[in-house]
This record gives sequence, structure tokens and C-alpha cells, in this order.
Amino acid sequence: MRPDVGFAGFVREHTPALLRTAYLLTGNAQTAEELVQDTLVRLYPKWDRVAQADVPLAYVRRSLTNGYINYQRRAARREYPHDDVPERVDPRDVMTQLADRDQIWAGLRFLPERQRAALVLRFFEDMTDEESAAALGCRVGTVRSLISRGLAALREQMAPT
Amino acid sequence: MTDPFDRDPIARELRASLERHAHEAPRGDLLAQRIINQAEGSRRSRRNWRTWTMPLVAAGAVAAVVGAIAGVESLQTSANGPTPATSNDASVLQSPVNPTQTPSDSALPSPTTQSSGAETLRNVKVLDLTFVSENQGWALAAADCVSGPGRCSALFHMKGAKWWSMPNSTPFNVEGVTGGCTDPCVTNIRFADKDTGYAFGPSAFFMTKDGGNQWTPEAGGAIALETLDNNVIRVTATSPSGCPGPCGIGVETAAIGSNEWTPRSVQAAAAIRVVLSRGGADAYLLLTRNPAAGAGSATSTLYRSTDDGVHWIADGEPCPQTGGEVDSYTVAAGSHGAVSVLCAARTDQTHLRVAVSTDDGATFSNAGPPIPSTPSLLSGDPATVLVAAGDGLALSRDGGKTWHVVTEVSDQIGFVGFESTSVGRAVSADGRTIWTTRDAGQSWTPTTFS
Repeated sequence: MRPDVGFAGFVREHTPALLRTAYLLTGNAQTAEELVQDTLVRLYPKWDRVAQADVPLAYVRRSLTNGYINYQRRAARREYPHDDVPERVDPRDVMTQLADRDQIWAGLRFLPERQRAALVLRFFEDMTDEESAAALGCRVGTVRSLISRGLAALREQMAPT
Repeated sequence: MTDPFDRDPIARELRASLERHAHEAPRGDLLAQRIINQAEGSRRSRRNWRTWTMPLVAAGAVAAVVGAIAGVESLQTSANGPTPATSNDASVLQSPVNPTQTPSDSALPSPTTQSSGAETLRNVKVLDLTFVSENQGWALAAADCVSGPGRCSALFHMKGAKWWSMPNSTPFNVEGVTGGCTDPCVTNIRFADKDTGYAFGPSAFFMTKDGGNQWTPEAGGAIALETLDNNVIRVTATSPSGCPGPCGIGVETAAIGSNEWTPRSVQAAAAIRVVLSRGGADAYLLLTRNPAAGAGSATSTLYRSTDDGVHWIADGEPCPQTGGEVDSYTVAAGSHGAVSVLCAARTDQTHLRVAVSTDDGATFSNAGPPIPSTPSLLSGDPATVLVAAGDGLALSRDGGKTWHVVTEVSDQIGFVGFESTSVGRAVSADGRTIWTTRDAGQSWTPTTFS
């Protein structure tokens, strides 16, 4: 398979689905686009490896998830402050944030990134625990724990005060 | 089989919420093409292998450590190549290195222009690095233009602990500049000493003799170049973007600072990836041809030289063929005739090993078990420290027999290399962070550009 043909075809076919996952992970349209773009461009040089995977989409999704988690971690421990370009306000995000009728969505924002990722993979991508573990690079038991703790955190947030 | 969470109202609400909000995600029509365009552009630039050539002094019985390499991982495209540069000859060192006076990295690393001292470049992305000592080097980068919108080429000079942006604009373009990397497109940079340097791309070639302030265009281009031992080895391609991979590979040499190039007897038809690595008087040119667009069993060729690239011997695939076809991905020259290659079985490209030679690349043997990460870059000397980079960093201090993952570096790495036995640098694949170690890899400190 010529790398260019396989890659381009894959990108055109699967970018919308990857964007949905990235959006649910990041909660931000611009960040989601950056995450997908960074993931696919990073994988391009080793596309032969991706193409030979049993399910290339799963391989890419795993890389995307790791990219999301690692990005969140780097943002948390960056040593030197530097000016951030002000984010453009995405009207969709504003609407989402104002939609307090969807507390679940708002509650997701406060979960640790691995819990959030585990919930998105489980309840949106409908991945099995084994598939989620592979995507997150952890054991099945850890995935179940992440899901359990994530749901518990959401349940607590939804509880009437 | 029913979902055990079907009876959990929170889980049901979560599923519904995610479905609802998934429709808010951008569609990605334009994004897909942007991704393809960026990847295509990166493929052309990654045919040049990147390396730091650092003449290193052997202090007493301590073997000189290789200088860096950081080639962008590219298992399909050509040119991956760290090239460690080592030398046991103290006279090669251009400026004395005194590890006891190594400055700290505690200063704020934001690059500033020397002329104004006030401007700070934004959204810097480092594309390539080169060092001539532990604390003197240059970085080729793209950044937001200072005046006006868009992206511009940038050149930073590091001396001591700070990175300084060069006051003059570069006469060439780099990847990521608005409008793409139009000609003359430079993808790599290498300095031989504090004054003489080269900026090159497949169809562009520039030389400086004043430390990067002024650049003179020269004929042709290069897809790989390394300086060491008072000479320069340059790899050219007559068709850089065809074949697939570059075609018509040629090798030339010249004295440092000279524009008189002598062709050498290396003529290869085509390669997926071209890796050039030098150590002392040794030079290695790895031309990979597998995976050859997924078809056939095309194998790599390792060209070896023991006289600074004047004469070359062509060998076959350097990786030991055990249990089926094994392909090499990159080569890293060490000292005293040692050289390492990164190998992966054709049927299992997730578990890569290092194979080591101690006879100038004549024979290789597997060093140890697979590396506990997914590297695509290799740098270092099996006699001191080997660094495998890609998904983070992994180190070996016993010639590849055992490896440990550097947990503090979780970035995808696009560049790695050592300037001395203790000082090394790795650059994140997004070009935003340079990781520095001053204790031979035991600890790493990030420097993040704004």
C-alpha cells in the first residue's frame, strides 16, 4: 500500500469520527481539531505500522487518547509561564456551558483526564474494557476503576444539595 | 449480552449527553485536507536526517560520547538519522568544554532578540538543532512573524543558558511558514564550529561563516549533512520527492567552509529513508528500502566509511536476521569503531531492538531485549549511553542490554542527542519543548518556548 493513498483516504473517512471523540474529550472545538491534527500528522511517518494494525482506527484512537492525556499533563506541569494566545470564544462551547440543564456534560469537565477519557471511550465509543485498557495504556482493572470513580464523581455532582 | 450499566441512571444520562454533544463537534471537512497537506509537507522535510555533530574530547579513559541525532521518526519516508559525532582528538574541539562551569538552565528560556531585548517571539516551533559545544548551538524554527500576521522563519543561537533569536531575518523558508515551505525551503541546520554552518533542504543549500548572521546560497541541496573531523559529508538526491523516497542518492565531501565538493563513490537508486551518522573518522550511510510501500522484501543497505566519507563499502541489511525478516530503521555511530542500529521484525514493528557492532559496522549482533517504548530514533554510544526516542525516551548504559524509560519525558520526541558524556538534549515532536540533561540522562529539564 502506498503510504500516501492509505493515509489520505483514512484521514478523509475518519476525521469526523475522530473529531467527535476529541471534542468529547476536550470539550472545546478548536482544541479538538488541534488534537486530531497533531495525532494524525504525528502518525503519518509511521503509517505503515498503523495500516498493518488489526484495526487502524483503534490504533489512531489510542494515539489520540494518549495525546489528550499527555497534553493535559504537560499543561499541568509546565515550568515556565508564557503568554497564551487568547482563545477565540466558540459559540457552541458557550451555549454548552450555559446549558445547565446538562449537568452531566458540565460535570465531565471537572473529572481527571483519565477518568474522562475512560467514560468517553466506554459510553460513547462503546469500547469494551479490554479495548479501553489498550487505548489508555493500562490494565483492565484500572479501566473499570476509572469508570467506576468517574461515574461516582458525576453522581455526586448531580446529587441535590 | 446486556450492558451492566444499563440500569445505572447516571450511566444512561452520560451516554445520552455524550451522544447529544457529539453533534456539536466540528465536521472537519477542511481539517482533513489540512492534515493531509501538513503531513505531505512534513514528509518532504523529514527526508533530511537531523543530527548534532559534536566533536567530543575523550578525557583520559572515558570514551567520547556521541553527539546527538534527532531525526524525525519516519519509518516510511527517507532520511532518519541521528548522527552521533564522536572524536578522541582534542584538537577537533572548537571551543573548550569545562563541565564544572556548566551554566544552569534556570534562566527564563524565552527567546528574545538581541537588538531590542524586548521582543519575544511567539508560538515557536523548533525544527532542528545543532551544537558545537555543550552550551553553544543553534535552533532552526518557525514562529509568529514579529511584524504582521503569519509565520516566519526563525534562527536562534544558544550561548550559555539562554536562547537568543538572531537579529537578521533568514533568506530561506522553513516548514510551517505561512504559505508552506516555498523555495528556498530549508529543513535542517548544522554548524561545524562557532562560525561555519549549513542550512539545507532537498533543493536548497546555504552556508554561513559568521555564526549565522549572514547566509550565502550555494548550488544544489542536501537531504543529509554532517560535519566532523574538519570535513563535511553531504548526501544529495537527484529526485528528492520521487520514487518513493529520494532517488539518485549521491555523496559529496568538502572541507569545512569550502564550496568545492568532491563526489564520492556511493550511487544508490532509491531509498525510503536516508540516515547519515558519523563518529571519529567513521561514517555510516543507511539507506532503508523497507517497508517498500508495503510490497516485497526490499532491504536496507549500509554504506560504511573509515576515512571521513572518502571511500565507502556497501553492505547489506545490518540487522541480524533472526526469526524472519528484520529491518533497520536508523543507525548511530559511536566511538572506537562502535555503531548501533535500530531493528524491527517485519512482522512486529512495535518491539524494536538495538544491534551493535564493534568492528566499524562489519558485523552486528543483537544487544538485548526489545526497548520498552516505541522508538524511531537512536543516539549515543554503546560504550557509554544509548538513547532511544520516539514515544518518550529510553536509556541504556550497558550497550543496549537493559533499558529504562525516562518517565519525566512523556512527550513524543522528534530530536535527541548528546553533546558530551553528560549533556544532551531532546526536542518534543511539536517543537515547543527542548529537554536538557546535564547528568547523562538521569534527569531532564524542559525548556518551553512561548
